[in-house]
Amino acid sequence: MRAEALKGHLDGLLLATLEDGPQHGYAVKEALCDATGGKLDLPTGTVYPALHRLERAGLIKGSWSVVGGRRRRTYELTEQGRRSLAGARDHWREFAAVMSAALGGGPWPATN
Amino acid sequence: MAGHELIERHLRTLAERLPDPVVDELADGLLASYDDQMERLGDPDAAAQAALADFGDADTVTAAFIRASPARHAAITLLVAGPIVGLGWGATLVTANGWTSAIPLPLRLTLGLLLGSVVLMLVTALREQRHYRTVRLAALGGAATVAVVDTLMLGMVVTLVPPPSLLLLVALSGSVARIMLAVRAVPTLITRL
Repeated sequence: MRAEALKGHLDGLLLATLEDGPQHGYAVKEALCDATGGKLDLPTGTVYPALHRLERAGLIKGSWSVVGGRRRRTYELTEQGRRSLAGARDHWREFAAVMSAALGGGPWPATN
Repeated sequence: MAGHELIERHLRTLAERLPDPVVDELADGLLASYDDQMERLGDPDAAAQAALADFGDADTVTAAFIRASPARHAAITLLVAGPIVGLGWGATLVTANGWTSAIPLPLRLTLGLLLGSVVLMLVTALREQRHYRTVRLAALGGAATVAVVDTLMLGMVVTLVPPPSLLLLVALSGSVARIMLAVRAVPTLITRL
């Protein structure tokens, strides 16, 4: 998938990976890759600046621990982050419905 | 610390460019990726190469951190504010009724030098792509010098007491707003990554 297609959606995707519990940066990247069947495989090193930006915005909270002798920073959603994720989901559903209607594809969401 | 010479070399390059806590975090991610690739491939060289390919090169990673840094955002804000405040002062000084001749030459020269330094530092913070610390220091220096320039302008007005005008009021308001902007940015630039 092309990186520009992610514009405006990366924050929501990263927040979604933290919904089920705290994760460190590499695990966030892997979760994103797994959830999309490998279609969304971002360079690991570029996920961290996005996580730092979300932390500065108060949407996630990071904490340090030591795992296997290595310093590890783990992130979890804040309340504000959960609200932002819910908003991103609503926005995406609305956007996808409009685009599906406009492009003349099948009904969305798929119900088969 | 690292599991392979290639990984160590990559981390050393990142350590030259990024703050220590960031490098610690990146090292953990890169080594976790290396461990995964070792399980998958079984060969240390192949695993290290796969982990590095998956991680992204040092230029891409550094540039991504710099793009998202508070220092770069502060530099952009101050650079945008510069011409607006400058236009206010320019119009005030051009339309002034004689009082500008009382501005001492050393003060004029000092202001000119400081303004040049501000532009140089903020443009450096905006253009630098490889060294996070340079961006941070340039933005910090730019913000502090902006505050000094505007304080000097306010001091000059207080000392010379020019005749009041709407343009002067606009210029003064612009300088006060920019001092507040710069002063608010400084703690963030010092404490936040």
